[in-house]
Amino acid sequence: MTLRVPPDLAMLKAACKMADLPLDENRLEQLLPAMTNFFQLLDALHVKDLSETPPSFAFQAHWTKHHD
Amino acid sequence: MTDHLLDQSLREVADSLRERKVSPVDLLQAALRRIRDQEPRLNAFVRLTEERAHLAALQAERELAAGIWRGELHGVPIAVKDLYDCAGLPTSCSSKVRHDHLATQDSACVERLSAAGAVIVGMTHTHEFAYGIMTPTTGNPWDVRRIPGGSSGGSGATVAARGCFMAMGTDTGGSIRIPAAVCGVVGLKPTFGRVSRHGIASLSWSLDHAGPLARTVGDCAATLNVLAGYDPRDPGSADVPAKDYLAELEHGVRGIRLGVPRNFFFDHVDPEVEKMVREVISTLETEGAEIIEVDIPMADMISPVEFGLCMPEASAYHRDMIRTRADLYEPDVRTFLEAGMLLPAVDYIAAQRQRTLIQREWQKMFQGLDAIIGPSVPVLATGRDEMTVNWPDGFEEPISQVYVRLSAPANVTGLPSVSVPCGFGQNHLPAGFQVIGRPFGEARILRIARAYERLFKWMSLKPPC
Repeated sequence: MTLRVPPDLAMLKAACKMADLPLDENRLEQLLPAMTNFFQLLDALHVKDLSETPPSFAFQAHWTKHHD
Repeated sequence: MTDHLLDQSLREVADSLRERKVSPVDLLQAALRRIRDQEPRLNAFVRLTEERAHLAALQAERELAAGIWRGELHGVPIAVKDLYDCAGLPTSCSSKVRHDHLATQDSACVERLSAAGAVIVGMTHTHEFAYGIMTPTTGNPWDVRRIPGGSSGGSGATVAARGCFMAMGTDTGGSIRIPAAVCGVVGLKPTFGRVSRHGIASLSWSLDHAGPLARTVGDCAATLNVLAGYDPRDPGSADVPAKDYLAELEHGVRGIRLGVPRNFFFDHVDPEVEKMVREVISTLETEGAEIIEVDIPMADMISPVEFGLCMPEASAYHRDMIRTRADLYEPDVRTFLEAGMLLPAVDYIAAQRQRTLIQREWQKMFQGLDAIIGPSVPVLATGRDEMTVNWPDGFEEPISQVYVRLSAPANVTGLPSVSVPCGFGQNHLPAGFQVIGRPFGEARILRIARAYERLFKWMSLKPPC
């Protein structure tokens, strides 16, 4: 698996444009280190091939044979 | 005259009310006096709801005089977190962003609590929009220079300080159990879907839970008896019959199979906290529980899934507000919300798929077990300005991750979890352990928690505030 490239200001600016999130340069600079940390954390989600695993949108209490 | 009754548990004062040894109106006045006296130091409340409380107390007084008893919450002063809608009152989520929000109807929990005759004295502070663990507005009653935990910090603080007998919280990554642990009270996060979230401001639809903080395990069980039930207005609500959560409370732990994690739950934990939790496990074993060592599966995936789900869902909820009122948010919450706007959808879906795997693996781990046990949080209450914890191996961990790390598994899996006080550490600060159960296994985890609680009366110790 390839980890994503750490974001820079230009990438962040483009992402904000796509998200329709108007941030000025000063705010982008403040946000950059946090985004770098969050992307590092979330890269772990892609380390393993998830194959046919479906998403779990919320908790499914299907394993409830032993409720009590 | 009635002030000493505030030191009783909810169930004890319920007996006094039912037997008409105390008037609900007098009890309300005593609670309000206590809260007003403490507020300059604690600041646990966004607002008091005196008019509504007075009407509820008067009604309870009339009904009890007529021999009508609605149950253990009848006439009991309680509070709700400032995320729960109460008709005609603001729900500000402790935020300037929501200063102009007025609720038009009661949330489902407030409906149920009011129908049970509870007297809601006020709305408690939350970390802004429940998005954090510090609740910086509020002091910890054991040392007001320290955090009360969060996000339900006001609820934890006022229950510990005996301002009221129970306070409602919400829990997306630990926000009931974290303040319960660091304030020295009991906090119950029920199974996902057990308690309706209708009318509660959302942080993350797929991780949010509603539940009580109280001074005893029995008080939480009595409250869950009122709250539990299906509600089609909450898409996450589970159509599973509710139980009597008091029925097996005193049955003890003989024959209970309790999993003790070999990994994760005791990694990077304050040795003082670990020692106290290990003593809890020994006590439960002596009481007849069978202890089985278990390996927590996919432990490294818990935080990525928790944040991978919470951040985009929170930003989706706040999308319009963060674009138009960003400057009104506190800096930490603003950063989380703006960052969540920029996360790719594939990260969010990957988190959902990883959650599928975690739930499968936890189901396997739980085979033959009634519950697992571990610390609620890795450390005692930290100072307000402490932003990281430095562990002996050199690992520097941000405070938000420290406090969420051990509580998030029950949010990602949706399993019920209760945090219970288990002693005091340095500077006389409380610690807590948690019991995580099977889906809809609230009665069982409350029974395990009670088996410990009845041997150690930590609730009888009062904070100095």
